[in-house]
Amino acid sequence: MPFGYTGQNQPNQTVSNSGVFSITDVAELQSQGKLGGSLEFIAEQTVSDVANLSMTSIKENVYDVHLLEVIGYNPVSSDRLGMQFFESGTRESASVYQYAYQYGYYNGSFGENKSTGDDHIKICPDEGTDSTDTSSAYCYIYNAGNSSKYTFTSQQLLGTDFMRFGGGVLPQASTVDGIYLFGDNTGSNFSLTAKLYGVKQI
Amino acid sequence: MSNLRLINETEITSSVSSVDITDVFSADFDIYKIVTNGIEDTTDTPSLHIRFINSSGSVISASNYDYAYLNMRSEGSFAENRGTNQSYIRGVFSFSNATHSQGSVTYIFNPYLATSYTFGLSQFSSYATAVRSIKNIGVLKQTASMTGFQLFDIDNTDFSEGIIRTYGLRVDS
Repeated sequence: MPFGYTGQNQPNQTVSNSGVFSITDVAELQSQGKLGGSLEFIAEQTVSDVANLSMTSIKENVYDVHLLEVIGYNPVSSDRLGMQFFESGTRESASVYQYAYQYGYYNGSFGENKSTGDDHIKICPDEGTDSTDTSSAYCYIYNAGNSSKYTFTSQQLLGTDFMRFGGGVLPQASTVDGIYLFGDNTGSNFSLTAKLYGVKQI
Repeated sequence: MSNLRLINETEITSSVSSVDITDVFSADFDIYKIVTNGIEDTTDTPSLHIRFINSSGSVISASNYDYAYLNMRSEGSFAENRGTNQSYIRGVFSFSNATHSQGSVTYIFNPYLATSYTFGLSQFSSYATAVRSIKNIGVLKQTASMTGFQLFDIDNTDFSEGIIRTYGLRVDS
């Protein structure tokens, strides 16, 4: 059954929906969180010249799929942005992460990047120090709050000279309740904006 | 209010070999987003496939599907896989055993528009020996109106748990 949306409240909607809700219906659905958008904002951080960034209120008990956006990653010196997870408040920094990516340079080669034992999952590509030389990424995170399942990611990353897409996993059945971003190659300080959303569920 | 609208949420609670998600594509939206997570079984099976369901409720199993994907393996070489005139789009989703599980995001374009082919692109991560990530494109080469889709495993391996959510991307003037 598709959910309906009334045109009266959304004047830009160009087509009619199949369901029309009464005021009572709307109030009831809204109280249950079933009315409205389906990409729900959780947190945003904008940082400048920092060594790392932590997001520790990710509502993992509310959402089983998260969307992380990284916008304008710019390291002080050439570096890459990596991600680790917090498990029940403790950051996992051991070489337990796995990933597999395809990468490509605009003016160079394409290739594979993979590991079954690294201390991070890769987020943003290598970028230099030019202030206009930045990279951005989106990353879906699955099953973070489920203590009986691995936590997976799938992401796509784009820089001024480089792209990468693929996925990763923290192959441990645990509750992931935080995200940690850092320079995974040289540890360079960086600037960026990170936004975290929950993908709505009933 | 975001422009992503939840249309359907289907939870798999018993062992099944296929799941039909019906009456989700309509004239209300042009682009749909399908998000799955936690689909699992007792074995590590590599992939789950998709067929579309037309407005009469029939699963389209004619050899009108093309697909191509890159299988990115953390423990081995990457592999290309492609097919033309197939009876399904292969490797759109995945599932694996209970702990390993999976996650995926798929976009479907113009399924309800009877004058257009139905296109899809997908990206997922799952675990079989080690993490596998797949990037996939596919098309149903029929100019007909599709209102739903079916997930199934070609080897008839049952899957027993997981959530499939379908969203529409709001249409603006």
